[in-house]
Amino acid sequence: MQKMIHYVLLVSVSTLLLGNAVIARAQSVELATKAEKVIEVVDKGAKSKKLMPAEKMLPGDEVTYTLTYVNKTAKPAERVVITNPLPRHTRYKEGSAAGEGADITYSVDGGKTFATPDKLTMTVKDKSGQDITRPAAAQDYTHVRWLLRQNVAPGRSGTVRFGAVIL
Amino acid sequence: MFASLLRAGLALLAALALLYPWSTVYALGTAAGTTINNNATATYSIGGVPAPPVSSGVSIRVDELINVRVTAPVSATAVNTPDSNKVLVFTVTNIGNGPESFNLTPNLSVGGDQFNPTPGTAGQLFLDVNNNGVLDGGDTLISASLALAANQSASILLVSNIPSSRINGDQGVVTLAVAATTAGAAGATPGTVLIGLGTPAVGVGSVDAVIGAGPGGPADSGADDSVNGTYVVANVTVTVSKVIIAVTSPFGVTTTGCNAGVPPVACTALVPGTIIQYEVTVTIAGTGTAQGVQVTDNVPANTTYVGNSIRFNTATRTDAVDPDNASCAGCGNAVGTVTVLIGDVTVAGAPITHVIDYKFTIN
Repeated sequence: MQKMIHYVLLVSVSTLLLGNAVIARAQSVELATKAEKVIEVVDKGAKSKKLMPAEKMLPGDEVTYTLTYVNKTAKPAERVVITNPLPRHTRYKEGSAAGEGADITYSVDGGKTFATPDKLTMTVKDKSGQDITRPAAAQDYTHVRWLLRQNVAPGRSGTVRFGAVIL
Repeated sequence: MFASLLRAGLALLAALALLYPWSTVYALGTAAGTTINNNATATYSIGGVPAPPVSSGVSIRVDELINVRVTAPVSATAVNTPDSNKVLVFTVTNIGNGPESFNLTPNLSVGGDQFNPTPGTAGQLFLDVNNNGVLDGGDTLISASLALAANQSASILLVSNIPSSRINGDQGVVTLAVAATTAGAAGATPGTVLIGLGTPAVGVGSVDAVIGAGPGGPADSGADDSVNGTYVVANVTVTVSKVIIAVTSPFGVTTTGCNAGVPPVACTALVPGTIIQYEVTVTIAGTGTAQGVQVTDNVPANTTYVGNSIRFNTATRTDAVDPDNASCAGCGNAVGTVTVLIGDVTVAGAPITHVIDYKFTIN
């Protein structure tokens, strides 16, 4: 048993070294994430939303996650797909996902399948224990996915985002 | 390693259970101190060849929301005058997401009422450990602050003595104020941030504390709350008297006025065959409701009940158990019980009186 653990550790260490080596030689697409707090501002009776640093975070607060991708390689990046599981202790903020030039789909089954909101369903038990199928709601989402319709040219960057509410 | 972690976890749960035996902890919001990790992954191809996926993460930490509510007793507590150790039950709930301690401050001198209660002889504030709304053996005197876990509530017994010589309907209003003990929290405007003063429910170290909004709206501090409870003097008394009002001799001569100060001589000439008419007077006095008033009288030894002789406020009643409010089912020679149900009687002002009479024959 102990020998097995040693073996696994060795493998993971070597993978890590190898990975570092690869990154050192070739550039990749890079991804960065920013979390910001969404606050509602009322100015002259008009409500608008403003992004603030993610401090004083409490249950019920809304967080916007902004994901920035940049192609650091010398060639176009094809079929760029960004996938973000909903963080634990949060639920998806309905209608919040955005991304220019991206087809946005969602999963309600832990990332196994993805579809647009109109095609997502949940199977739940009714009072008599029978399975019934209902349309999925925002709080059922487990993942958000952005598929970029166009290749990302070398040096080009872009952002996608979504909102989550702290439970 | 894992087993020891599990053991430590179980030990912690057991410790929490010991600390907070008097109510249920139920999660409402994400606990203060929780770290929320977000991880995104991007996949792509270069020249038709899949490249290694890249990931990016960011973490935020949940701060402590300080928010407390105290709810009033469901109804006023009826008391006598004088009275002692009368209980009002308040419920204090930590609706924040972290453990917090609260000072409880009773005010017995609220204006606009008729009397001021005084602290109970047994003590003034108790934690209702067994949650039965009654001051009993297992309840503990609260001498310092009250510690509540996130989303935990506690039943608090405010115990008072009631002064003498009050009249029915007099009220004594008391206030229970609760305030978070975190420095600067009580009375602070909602949204106020107390840097580093929050207590995490999970994890270690400190978090910021943020004041929530109270029941009064967005300008009302959620770090404190107060509510009134009321004692009301409502001593209803039910008195019953029973006298012989008439006798009928074996020769058929009826003598009335047997309850007079100086009764006729015939009233005391009780020989076998004499029929005695008893009268029971029920008086309900005070302010309030006497519930389920019922009069019963067993047929005495050496007498026999006279069938269908019960009258209620001089109206005749049958012996059967039926919709009329009197019965003497199976009554006979030293057997049975005269039963008259009066029910709930609400009195305010003049006392209410009901008169019942019935007859027994001396064997």
